[in-house]
Amino acid sequence: MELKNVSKIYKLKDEEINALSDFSYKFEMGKMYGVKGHSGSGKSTLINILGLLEMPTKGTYIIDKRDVSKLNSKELADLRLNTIGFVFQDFYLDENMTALENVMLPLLINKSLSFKEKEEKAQKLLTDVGLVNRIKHFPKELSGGECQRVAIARALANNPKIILADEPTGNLDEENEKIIFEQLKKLIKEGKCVIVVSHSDEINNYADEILKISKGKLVDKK
Amino acid sequence: MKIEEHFYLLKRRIFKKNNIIFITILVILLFVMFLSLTVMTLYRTNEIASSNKKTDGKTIYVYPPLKQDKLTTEDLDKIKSIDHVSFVGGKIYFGGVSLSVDELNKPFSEAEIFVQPLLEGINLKMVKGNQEISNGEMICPVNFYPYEAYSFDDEYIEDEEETEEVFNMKKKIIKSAKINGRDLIGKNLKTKHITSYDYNDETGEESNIKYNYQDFKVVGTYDTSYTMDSLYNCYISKDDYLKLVLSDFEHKGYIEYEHLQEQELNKEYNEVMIILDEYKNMNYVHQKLDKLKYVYEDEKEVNQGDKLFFTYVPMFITIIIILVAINIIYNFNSKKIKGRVSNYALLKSLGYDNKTIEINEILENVICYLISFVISLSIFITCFVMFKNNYLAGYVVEGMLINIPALAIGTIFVIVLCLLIVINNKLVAKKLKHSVLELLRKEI
Ligand SMILES: Nc1ncnc2c1ncn2[C@@H]1O[C@H](COP(=O)(O)OP(=O)(O)O)[C@@H](O)[C@H]1O
Ligand SMILES: [Mg+2]
Repeated sequence: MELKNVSKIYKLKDEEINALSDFSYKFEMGKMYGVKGHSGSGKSTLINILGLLEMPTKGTYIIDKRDVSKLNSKELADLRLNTIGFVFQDFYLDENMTALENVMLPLLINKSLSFKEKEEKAQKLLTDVGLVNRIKHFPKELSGGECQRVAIARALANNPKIILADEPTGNLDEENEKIIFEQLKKLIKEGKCVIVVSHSDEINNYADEILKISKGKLVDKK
Repeated sequence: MKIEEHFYLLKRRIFKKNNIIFITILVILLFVMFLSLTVMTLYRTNEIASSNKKTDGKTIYVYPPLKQDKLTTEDLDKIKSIDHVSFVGGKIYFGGVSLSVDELNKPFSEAEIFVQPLLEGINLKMVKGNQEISNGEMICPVNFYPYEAYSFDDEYIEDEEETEEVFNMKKKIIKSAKINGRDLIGKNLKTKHITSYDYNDETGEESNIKYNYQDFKVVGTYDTSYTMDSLYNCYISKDDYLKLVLSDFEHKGYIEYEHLQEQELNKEYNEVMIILDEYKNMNYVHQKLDKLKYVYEDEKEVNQGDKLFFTYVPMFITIIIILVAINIIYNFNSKKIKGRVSNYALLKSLGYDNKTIEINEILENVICYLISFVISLSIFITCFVMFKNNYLAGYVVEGMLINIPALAIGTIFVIVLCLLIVINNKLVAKKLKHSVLELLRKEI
């Protein structure tokens, strides 16, 4: 996964915002990255571009040896399905669906499993994040930490190589934060690449590399 | 994505408030549409039926030219030679004779058929056999019911000024007694009718009843609804009919019939009836009759006002409803879709491609539509059947075409379905063009 001179410019009425400017970086598999920076520094912009939720204005983004700008919407959807798992700060669970059904969402479009296998897999994923007793619960019956774990289980459903999380612990207390980071850390043992945006210093204890961003530029790397 | 997986995705949201309101509105719209379609098609089909039947539409009465007082065989030949005139004859052929058929009697009712002459120009819709019959042969309905189909519960409301009769129709057709006309083909039906009896004025007794017996071999069956015939209406040859009507006691008593009988016997007519081959030739024949200086009068005039009312008003209502439906489908969907962009964003972020989301949305709409359609149609059919049984029982017996307009309803079903799919797809596709983040932001 590599970004080459990537810029994102938001055009407002009478000004242009350089949310990300000339950003270049190569992310490696089997590593956990922490992305830090002030509010408005461009962290979300970076991770959204990485997660194919929006397109860069300039520059090239190579994922799986493929140039993203040359892919059509079907191929992009395919990458989002099989290669990337995305975790949002606000979880983005479907309120009308149970934990299990939420985890089923990405599995439903998976062509290689039968429906029964999909349900078994969803149950296993929820068991892995410690929610075996919460399978039939709706999001509003779950705590914030539990919701985020459902979201993580969902992000992992199709066994993606890359996990992206934008302030996954932003709405959680310290204890839950640790649980979430712990779970994300486990994934790099399977050779995955994990990138986590976080304000919190706790991330320093988990990440292999910390990227510091300011005004859309990479300013520091540890 | 497989269909059951689409349903899995839908099951939690299909019966949300939004959709329930949508379904309710569709049910009402469809119901009104079914009603207007029914009115329209009932009128149309009956109009067509009328023009197939001799007594309606294409029958003309012809009177002598003003300087003449009788029509002679010469006149009849002249009229017969006009193109498109299929039948010319005395007015005695208009009408029919009731015959008893004892072998078909049932405990609840005696069997009685009504025979009419099969004149040239009448187009029966034959189910079996053909329309050419010789003397001694008969064509009967395929749905044959030679019984009392409804009884009047006579009530007399005594009023100082006048006596008013109130009819209450009680009985309906007893299904098990229905006869399949096909089963009678090849069989001989023994019929009888009264030719004379003595009536004692003081005691009210009938005595010395004389019958005329005649056998008819059933050679074909026809569909009564096509010609608006009754379910006990049979057709026999002209000659047979003439014999029956001249001897029938019920006909003897009436002065009018005596006149007609006399005219027929002397071959001198005050008026004759003619039947055309097709309704569309009415104008042509009118012109020819004018030229020959005959006075004429159509048996039945199509009421243009009725035609306008029963055809164009329902058509107008149907079109309006389709327009309203488009509007409602559009507004409802665009509102619903607006509230659902964050859901699209979620699905897209998880790797759903646009097509899958579009199909899922269409499926939701189609399911709502199907539910509405089924509910609406069930209510409609229930009302229809109730109305038919309670208020139109008489017409049912008379063979009026009272059927649910399946073809029209089917057409509307497809039209609205297509509209629904196109509108929904357009709206969803427009939203899905945006990137995941743009979709997310609209909600946040
Ligand atoms: N859709 C947008 N339109 C305009 N400006 C935006 C938009 N999204 C982000 N920005 C701007 O881009 C900059 C970076 O935003 P973001 O990446 O969300 O920062 P962070 O996540 O680090 O707080 C901010 O100045 C923000 O106001
Ligand atoms: Mg942010």
